[in-house]
Amino acid sequence: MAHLKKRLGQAGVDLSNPRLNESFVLIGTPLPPLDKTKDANEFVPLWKQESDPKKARWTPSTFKSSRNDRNKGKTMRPEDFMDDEDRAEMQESRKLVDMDEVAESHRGHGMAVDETDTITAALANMLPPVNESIGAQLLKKMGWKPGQGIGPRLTYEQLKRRSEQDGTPLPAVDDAEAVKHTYAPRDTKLLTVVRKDDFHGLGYTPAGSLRASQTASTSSGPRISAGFGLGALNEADEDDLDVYDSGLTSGSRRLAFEAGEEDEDDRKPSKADAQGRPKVQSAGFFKNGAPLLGGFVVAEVPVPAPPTFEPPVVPQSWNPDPNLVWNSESAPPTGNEPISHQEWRKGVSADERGKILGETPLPTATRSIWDYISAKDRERIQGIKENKDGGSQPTAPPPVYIVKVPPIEPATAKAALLGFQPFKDDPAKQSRYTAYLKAQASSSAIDLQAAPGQSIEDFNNELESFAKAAQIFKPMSAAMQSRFRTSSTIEVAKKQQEGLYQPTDEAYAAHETKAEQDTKMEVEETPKQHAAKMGMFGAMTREQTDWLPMKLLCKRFRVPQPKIAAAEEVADDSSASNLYGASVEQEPVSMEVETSSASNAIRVVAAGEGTEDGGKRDLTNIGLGEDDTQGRDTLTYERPGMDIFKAIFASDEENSDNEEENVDINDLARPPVEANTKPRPAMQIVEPVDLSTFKPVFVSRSGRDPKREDGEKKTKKKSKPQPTMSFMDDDEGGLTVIPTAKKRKRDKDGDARSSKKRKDKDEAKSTSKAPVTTYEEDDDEMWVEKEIVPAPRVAPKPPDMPSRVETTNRRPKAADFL
Amino acid sequence: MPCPRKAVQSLKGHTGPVHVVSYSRGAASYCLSGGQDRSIRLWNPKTGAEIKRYIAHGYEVLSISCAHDNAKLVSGGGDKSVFYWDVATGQTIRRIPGHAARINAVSFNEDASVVASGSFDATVKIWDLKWLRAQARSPIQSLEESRDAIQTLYVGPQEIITGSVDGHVRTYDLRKGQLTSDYMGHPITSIVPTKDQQTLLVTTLDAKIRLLDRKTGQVLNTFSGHKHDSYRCRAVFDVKEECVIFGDEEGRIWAWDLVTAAPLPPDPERVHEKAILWTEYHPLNDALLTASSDGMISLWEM
Repeated sequence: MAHLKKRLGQAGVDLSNPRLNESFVLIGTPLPPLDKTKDANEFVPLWKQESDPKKARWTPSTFKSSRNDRNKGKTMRPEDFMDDEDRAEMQESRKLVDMDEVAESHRGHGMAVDETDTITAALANMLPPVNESIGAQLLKKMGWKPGQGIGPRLTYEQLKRRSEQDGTPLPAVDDAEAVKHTYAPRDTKLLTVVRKDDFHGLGYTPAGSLRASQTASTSSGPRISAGFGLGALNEADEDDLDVYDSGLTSGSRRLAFEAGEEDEDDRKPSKADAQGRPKVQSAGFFKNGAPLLGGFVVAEVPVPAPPTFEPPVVPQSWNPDPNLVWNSESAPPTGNEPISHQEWRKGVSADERGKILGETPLPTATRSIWDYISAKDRERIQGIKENKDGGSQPTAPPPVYIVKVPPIEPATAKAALLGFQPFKDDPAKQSRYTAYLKAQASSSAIDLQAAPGQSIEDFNNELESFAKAAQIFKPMSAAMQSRFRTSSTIEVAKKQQEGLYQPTDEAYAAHETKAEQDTKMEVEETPKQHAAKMGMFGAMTREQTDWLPMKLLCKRFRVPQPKIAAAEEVADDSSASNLYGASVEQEPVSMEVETSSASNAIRVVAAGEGTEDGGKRDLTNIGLGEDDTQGRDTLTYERPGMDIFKAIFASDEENSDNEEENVDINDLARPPVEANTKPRPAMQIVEPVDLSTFKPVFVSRSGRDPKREDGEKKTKKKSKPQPTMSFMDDDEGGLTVIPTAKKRKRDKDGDARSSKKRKDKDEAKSTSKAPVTTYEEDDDEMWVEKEIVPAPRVAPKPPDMPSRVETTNRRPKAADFL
Repeated sequence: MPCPRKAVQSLKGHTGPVHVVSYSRGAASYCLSGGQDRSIRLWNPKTGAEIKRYIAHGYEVLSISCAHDNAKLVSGGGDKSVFYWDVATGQTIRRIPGHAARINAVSFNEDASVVASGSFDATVKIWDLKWLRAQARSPIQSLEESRDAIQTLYVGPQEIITGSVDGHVRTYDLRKGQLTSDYMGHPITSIVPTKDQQTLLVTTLDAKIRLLDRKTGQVLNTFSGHKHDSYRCRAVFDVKEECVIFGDEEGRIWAWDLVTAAPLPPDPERVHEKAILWTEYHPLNDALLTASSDGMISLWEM
């Protein structure tokens, strides 16, 4: 540009010539006119560029390291994270918007603003928009809309009927479509109270004012009852004529809906009502030309005038004296003055009334002051009087009062004796009551004694109360009574003392001894306790009962389940053992252990065998019908050899079983449990051990208690899955890691957990070259079974192995033992 | 005389009363103590060193039992749960809830396959430890014959013996399926059987220790003279079962001859400031541990 100018200038071209600056640019930005000196966008070489102070630039001086202020914690506002769009949105949201609807409808609603009245309209517009009342807001929330009435929505039928009753029938709509919808009830017009500004007498027609003349001019035609559905184009029927329109009030409704309108459905159609209405007719006119109300007839004979009375004749001499009237107010009350309510309530006694009426009083005993004094006072006064009269005279003997026993029916008394005891709190009184009732029941004159210190009068009163009580606490009917029992002991409620209770020494001692006695009584309640107190421990203090240990508990303790428990479990198939998964296989036969005292021989009896002979019905053969042998083959089903199972299921992982392993090793270490029910002898039986399978680990330890030897050995032999830290065997005082005990080679079937183990074991035994003595306890089976050693016919009996039981490699039956 | 009276070591560390002290199994070189301060501590009683602390209890520890291999530990107390510990890691393997009140006594059986817990709720519950992972949350069995709190518990090879506040020693014989209850007349605080399992040393709150013949229920000997009427104290036999030793509520250690029931001289002195709550005799040697309400555990030797 600059070059261009330069060249043009050199060529002598006038740069200010407007023709030069004519723009022909159609696309893009035109160059600035030549006469302009500066072109902002002109290319400037770098060395000519100058810093423009108008443009904000980064300058090193303004840089401030935030390193030191890092901890000052700049508070971030939400705006810091907003882009322009968000910010614009926020700005938008900050705008104040008048959410209130312009309540135009409300403005005109109650005030009946005339649209033509411009002043009113202007005033109304000047008023700020009316906020909706909270009631209207609530109604809107409930679904109400302005212009609707309040109430449940109506069917078309109801709406129609209602409109007809109001005299504003609905416009004819297609009924088929209309009945499908419900309609909001019509609005009830607000009752506007018109201020009464005229005070005229009845029948007075005010002179036509300006307004009256106006209305007269506007209202033409018959008055039509106001309401819904009548527009300007609707023709007014006869029915629509407002019968009760007197012309004075405007055409607004005067009745809101009535409560009974909900039952409209039950009513007859309103057509009949409409027909029954009196027709409006102008029957005639009065003589002065006024129209006659419908249904009235002008009387032919004039109504007779009411009688008139002449005013009283004022005497000539009468002078009006208002003072008389005025003074009468302050005059003393006469009999006619009003009496207060209280006085009136007291009423007039018969005597007073008689006196007022002037009756001659009835001949009665003359009243004296003594009549108004109670008997006691009378007595006292009498005594005083006598003392005064003659001090030396001996006092008169106290008036003797006879004990008056109020009689009651013997039956009632008898029943009351059995019934409620009303004076339980006071045993003495109760006893008197009982005595009274007994006397009445037997109709005999039992001498009733008053309580010491009780006056005869009090006693009489008490007896009366007894009689009343006997009537009140009438016993229940026999049927009811049989359900209750009167308590045998009388509970004496402790009397409460007021104030702080400070026990005296005697009371305290008495309390102590009583407490002692109480405890003594408790202790000596049973002979057992007595024996314990006397130190006679033994048979007296000992009680023995059966107790059923759970199967699993016995298993964990490695003891056979007691006979009773076993029987019980077979009967009810204890769910607890199932829960623990202890008995995977339910034994179809119940094993019974019998011990002969002579030898420790075991007899394993299958329960199923017994039923054949005795035919006993029990849980094991219920449901078999008459045929007891039914299902026998199922029960005595022999499983195939363990080899088959092994071939299918066995895996190497069985060996890495950790938890159950411990048990089995333990089992190995334990001596076999003797198959009898007497307690295990303290001495352990030393059994011959096959060294190929059993390798005890010896712990060198001096000074060990021989009694603990066994337990310790067991402990040592307990193999652990991983090295276990233990604080055992260390004398130096620190924890040492003891490596896992040498994992002993074990019989492969030793770790089998399930019930198939047993079979397996038998197989192993029968096939092994050397006889194996297993000391392993079966985890899941009845313990007796594990004692079974290989049958002699299957494998030769080892010479050193005493055979306890003959056995086979299947489940033994009773026949095997016969 | 056989009673160890020479104070060798005192184990300090517990704040508050020490409720229980128990030798480990086997060589019994260590002891475990539980106290009101909610901790279980493992000590070397000879050196007096505290080796480990087991912290998980939320309430006081009232009873400890050690497994036969010393690898596991079970404890009970105010938590109403039995805490099953791994000794080495010091963590609980399982916390077994189920009791309605505090647990006064816990005990493993011989091979630590079950644990029995006796509680203030008057029941003994027997929990299976083998099927811990199983969903079985209920005890194997609950012994509910007691009419009052269970204070002490002994789990033998074939029986469970409980001592209750209702004054009964109940022997649940698993083998016979029989419950034998012997009425002692007073709340029982401890039962200790002899090694031959024939007799029981029963401590009751009438300040008497009785030697009960388990077979007949007769009392063979009665040891008295001490003060014992409110705390749970414990009487033990010495290692040779020649005498009976008891730490009483006044802090004295009493010893009686087992046969003659005569107190052994010298007259017991007050060795603890407060009541001795637990007395434990070494299973192999002549050493005695007493745990006291004053927070001290003392080791006594000949």
